[in-house]
Amino acid sequence: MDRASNPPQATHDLEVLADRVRVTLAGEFDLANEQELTRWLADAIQAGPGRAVEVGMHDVTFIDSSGIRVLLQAHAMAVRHGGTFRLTSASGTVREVLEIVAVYDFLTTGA
Amino acid sequence: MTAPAETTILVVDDRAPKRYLLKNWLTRAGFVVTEAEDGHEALEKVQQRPFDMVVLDVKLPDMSGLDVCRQIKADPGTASTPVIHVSAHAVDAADRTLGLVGGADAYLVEPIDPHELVATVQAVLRYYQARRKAEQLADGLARLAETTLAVTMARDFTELLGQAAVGAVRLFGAAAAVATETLDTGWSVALATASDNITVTGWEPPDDDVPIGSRMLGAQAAHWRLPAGWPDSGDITVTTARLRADRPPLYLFTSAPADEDQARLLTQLTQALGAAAEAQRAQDQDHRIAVTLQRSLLPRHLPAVPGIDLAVRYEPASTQAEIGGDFYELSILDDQLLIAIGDVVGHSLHAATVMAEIRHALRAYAIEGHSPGRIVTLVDELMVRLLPGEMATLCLLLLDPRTGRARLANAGHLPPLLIVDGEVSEIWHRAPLLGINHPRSDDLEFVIPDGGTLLLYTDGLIERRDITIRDGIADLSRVAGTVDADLDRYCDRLLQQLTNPPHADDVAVVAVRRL
Repeated sequence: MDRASNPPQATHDLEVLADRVRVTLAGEFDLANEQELTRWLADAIQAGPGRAVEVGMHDVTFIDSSGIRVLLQAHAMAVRHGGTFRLTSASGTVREVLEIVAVYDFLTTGA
Repeated sequence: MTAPAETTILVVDDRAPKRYLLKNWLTRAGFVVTEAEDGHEALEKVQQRPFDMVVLDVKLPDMSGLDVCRQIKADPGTASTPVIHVSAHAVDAADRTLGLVGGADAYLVEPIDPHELVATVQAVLRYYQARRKAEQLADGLARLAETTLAVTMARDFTELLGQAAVGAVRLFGAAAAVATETLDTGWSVALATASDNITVTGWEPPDDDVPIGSRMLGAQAAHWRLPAGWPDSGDITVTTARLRADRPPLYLFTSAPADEDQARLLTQLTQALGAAAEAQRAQDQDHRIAVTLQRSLLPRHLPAVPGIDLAVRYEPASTQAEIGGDFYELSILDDQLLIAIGDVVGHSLHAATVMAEIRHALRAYAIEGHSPGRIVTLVDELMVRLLPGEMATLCLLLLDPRTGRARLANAGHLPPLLIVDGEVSEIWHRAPLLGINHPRSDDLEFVIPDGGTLLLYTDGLIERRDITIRDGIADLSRVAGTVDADLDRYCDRLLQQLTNPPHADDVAVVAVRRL
C-alpha cells in the first residue's frame, strides 16, 4: 500500500473527569497524522494540568514509530505538568510494536 | 475531423415534379441532394448516413411530416440534423407554429421562391455549423482538461509521456507522439496510434534550437526520427513547449490541425504537457538529490574481513522525494567487526541528517573501545542532550571474526536472525529505543558458528499493515532460512520476495556470514 496516497483514518474522544482526563483513540496512526495526534494529546494534557491522563488504545489498529514518538513526548509533557500519562488496553499489533521498542511497560504503568 | 467537403441535403416529398424543382434549385446552389418519396424512406435514409439537412414536406402519403421531424429530433443520432418544413397548402400561423414546436428549424410555404429557399437553408446551416463548432470546442477543452489531469498525476516519465500521447490521440483523432528529456533515461518518445496502443522508446532529438514559449511548425515526419510505428511518412505538425532556456523542450507530433480551434487546442495541450514534464523533472531531481545525499551518509565501502562475507542493501522509499532515516554501519576496529543497523523515526531529509549524526557518534564511541551497551547508552545520552525530540532504533554488535563470538546491544530495533544450517533463530534483546534515556539491560552474548549467517534488517522488509510484526518476522524467517552461496544474491532475493516496489518505506538489509 502506498501510504502517502492513503492518509490513515483516525479519531479521538476526550472526556475531562474530576480526577483524570480520558482520551480514547481509534484507527491508524503514522507519520501522516503525527501532528493531529500530537495536538489531541497536548489538548488532553492541558485540559486538566496535573491530572492523570489515560489514553484508551483498544480501537487503535496500527501505530508506527512516529506515533510512538508522539506518545513518548506526550508522556514527558504530562510529567512536566505535574501529572501522569498512561496507555490502557493496548493489544495486538499495537502492543507488539510497543514491546519491540521496549516502551510498553513504561507507557502503561503511569509513571 | 476535417470539415465535410460537401453539404448533403435530403429532400422528402411524394410529388416527383416538386422534388425535381427543389433538387434543381439546391444543386445549383452547390448542395448535394438525395431524395426520398415518403416518411418511412426518409427515416431509413437518415439512419443509413448523416445528412447536413432535411427539407421535409409536411403532408406525406404514409405519415405526417411533423411526425417524421419529431422522430428525427428524438433520436440522439440524428437530433442535431436541421429540418426545414415545406408545405404545399395554404397554412395558417397555427400550423406553422405546430411545425416549429415539433422541432423544425424553419417553415416555408408554397409557392416557394428559390432564392428564399436557398437563403433559408444557408441561414439554418450557418447556425448549425456554429453550434457544432462550439460543441467540438467544448468537447476538445474537456479532453484537454482530462489529459492535463492525467499527466499531472503520472508517477513517472513513462506514464506521463504515455498519457500525453493518448490524450493527443483522443483530442485529434489520429496518431500522436510526445518526446522530452527525462532525468533517468535521457530522451524518450511515447507513440500512441490508438488510446490503447502506446510504445515508449528512446529518442534522438534533432539539432534544433527550440525557442522559449511554444512554437508550431509543419514538417516532414522523416526528418524527426519518429518511432517505427508512426503511421505515415508525410506531413506532420511539430508543436514545442519550452519553459526556460536551461530546460529541455517538449515535442508533440501530430497530423496538421484542421482549423484555428484545433491549432489553439494543440498549443494549449503542448504547454500543459511542457509544464507537467517540468514538474516531473523537478520531482525526479529532488528524489535524486535526496538519494545521493543519503547514500553519501552511508558507508562508501564494505570492509574486507578475512573469514567473513558481507552484503548490504539499501532501498529508499520511492514515493516522491521521501528519504528515510534507515542506516547501517560496518567497520573494522582493531580485530573486531562493528556491525550496526538502525532507523530514525520519520521520513525526511531531517531524519537523514539525524541518522548521519547518530552513525558518526556511534563510530566515535566504538573507536574509544566501549562495549556495545555502553556505546548505545552514550549515543542515547547524546541524543537526549543534543537532539531532543528525535528517536531512533538501533541494533549494534561487535563480532570477533575469528571466533564468532558476538556482543549485542539492541535499542528497540527488530531482532536480527541467525541462520545456521537452515535453522533460523531470532536474537531478541529487549531494551528501549534511543532518545528517551531509559535504563538498559546487559549486553547479549552469543556465537555465530562457522558457516552461520547473521541477518539484520529494518522494518521496511517485514512491516505490512495487514499482518502482525510476528507474522512478518515469520515470513522473513521462511525466506531467509536458505542462504544463497552468493550473499549479494541472498539479499536481492529477500528484497524481491518480501517487498514490492514502489517501496512505501525505506529498506536496509545487512548480511554477515562466517566462512
